[in-house]
Amino acid sequence: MTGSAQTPAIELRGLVKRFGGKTVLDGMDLTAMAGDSVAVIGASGCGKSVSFKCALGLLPMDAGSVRFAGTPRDELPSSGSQALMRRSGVLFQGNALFDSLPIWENVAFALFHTGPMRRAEAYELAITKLAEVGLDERAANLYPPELSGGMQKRAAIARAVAADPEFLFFDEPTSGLDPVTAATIDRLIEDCVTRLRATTVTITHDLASVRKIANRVAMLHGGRIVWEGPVSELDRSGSAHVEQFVRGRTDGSSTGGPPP
Amino acid sequence: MRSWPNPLAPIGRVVLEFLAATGRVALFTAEALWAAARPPYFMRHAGRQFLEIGYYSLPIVGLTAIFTGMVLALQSYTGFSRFAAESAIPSVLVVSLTRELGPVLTALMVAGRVSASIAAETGTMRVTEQIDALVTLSANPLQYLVAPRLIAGVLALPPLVLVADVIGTMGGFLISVGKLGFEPGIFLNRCLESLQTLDVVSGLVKAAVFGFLIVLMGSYHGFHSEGGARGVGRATTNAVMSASALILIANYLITEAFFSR
Ligand SMILES: Nc1ncnc2c1ncn2[C@@H]1O[C@H](COP(=O)(O)OP(=O)(O)OP(=O)(O)O)[C@@H](O)[C@H]1O
Ligand SMILES: [Mg+2]
Repeated sequence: MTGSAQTPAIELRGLVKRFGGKTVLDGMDLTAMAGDSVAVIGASGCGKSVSFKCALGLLPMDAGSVRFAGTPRDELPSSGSQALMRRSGVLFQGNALFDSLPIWENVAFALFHTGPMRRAEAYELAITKLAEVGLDERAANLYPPELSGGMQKRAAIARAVAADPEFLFFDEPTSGLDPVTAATIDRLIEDCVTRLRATTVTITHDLASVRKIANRVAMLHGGRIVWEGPVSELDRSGSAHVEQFVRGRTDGSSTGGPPP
Repeated sequence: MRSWPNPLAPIGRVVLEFLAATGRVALFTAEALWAAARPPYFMRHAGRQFLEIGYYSLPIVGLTAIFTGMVLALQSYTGFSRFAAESAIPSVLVVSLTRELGPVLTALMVAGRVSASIAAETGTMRVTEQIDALVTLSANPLQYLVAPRLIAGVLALPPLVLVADVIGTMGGFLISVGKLGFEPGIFLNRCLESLQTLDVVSGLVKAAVFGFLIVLMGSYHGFHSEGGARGVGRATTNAVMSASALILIANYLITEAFFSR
């Protein structure tokens, strides 16, 4: 039991990613133990989205390794990486909802398009999942372009968690949402972490939500993780980058209220 | 002193780029075929795409065919009447329609419609990360997006071409009977007499190949588009151009295979 307890659920080692001559990731390491909720923070454009796409194999990386529960991802056969995807839920920064399908089919996609579930059953489940993010049945039958940005975001979150995944990746789950909805989403993520015991990696700029949903925080800067630690030490990290990030945020209006 | 650029370098670059692109297309084709051969099969999608490619192309294909048949009758009359060989018009009409003009013009029209729309739709899905999302939902994008369309394309083009053959002949018939003074019964008889199974079959084989190329080019360019709306626009243009070019090249090769001796 100690063996499996010590194997990280998600482990990135020495990730390097270049676009043309530009190095975006330069030896990034990140470890999440089973049941961890890790928040990745960092300035805009520092490579957070790129790193999670590399981790999932959506972008080829130039060097480094990615392990899920101890298994190197790129050594999996294609059926194996499909099985891995079945155990993962992903929220993209731009939502990436399928605009040719109604919202409920988006949410239930993994269950009945590629899974075993019947249509009617999947519909019921999608409605339940959508209710959890505060969308009603009327919205479930609309198409993504007919929803507001915040509603799309919530639908995309419902899709990510619909299949009760073990690994969760959220790219900016609360950006563009009002504080009340953002708090709902935070609770939903918290719930996934505690109830499903899902290992969660959340990319976010929102420090309020970091403090609610994460137990660990990693700061990405210059292509590497420059600080990593428990969320309780965020305010006394001793890292200039983190301090600047935290202060820069709290000096401004972190809750999204009107500027003074 | 500045050295002169090597005049062969650009040629070499173009040739290399062409070979690389050919390799990429070949790889994509092989992957798409492999994806189409394996379960899961998204039959509902294939059905919807069949409607999209076949049924909704009927008006434009019908229009193209009828005017082609009409102009063909007029022009062959101008040519053949000089040798008092007007009686050859039905046979020229029906053979050139079924062998060449029906398949090629139908395919070019459908390429404009379908390659473009497939490239635009797939390209938008690519740049808005919907294709990545498919992967994370453990669906194979080739199986989900490309395979159903390939099946629909290969199945939809032959019936479309048959329709074009019939409507084109009808156009020729209208002009010949209405304007050129042919006897309707004799005209139709001539048509049927001169028509051979091979004419129709070769046209239908062409149609299936063209359907494959139309969908393949739309999907390939859509799949590999990048860089937002501009990239999707470029993908759409490239899809139509390359589909049209490949249709003409394939047409020659298939004609060669069927009819040269
Ligand atoms: N396909 C691409 N081609 C070229 N450069 C890219 C590509 N994708 C990302 N980049 C570059 O990689 C860098 C990191 O991008 P990324 O999207 O990961 O930023 P981010 O940290 O997620 O920022 P944000 O918080 O604003 O979402 C950017 O400078 C971007 O220009
Ligand atoms: Mg990002």
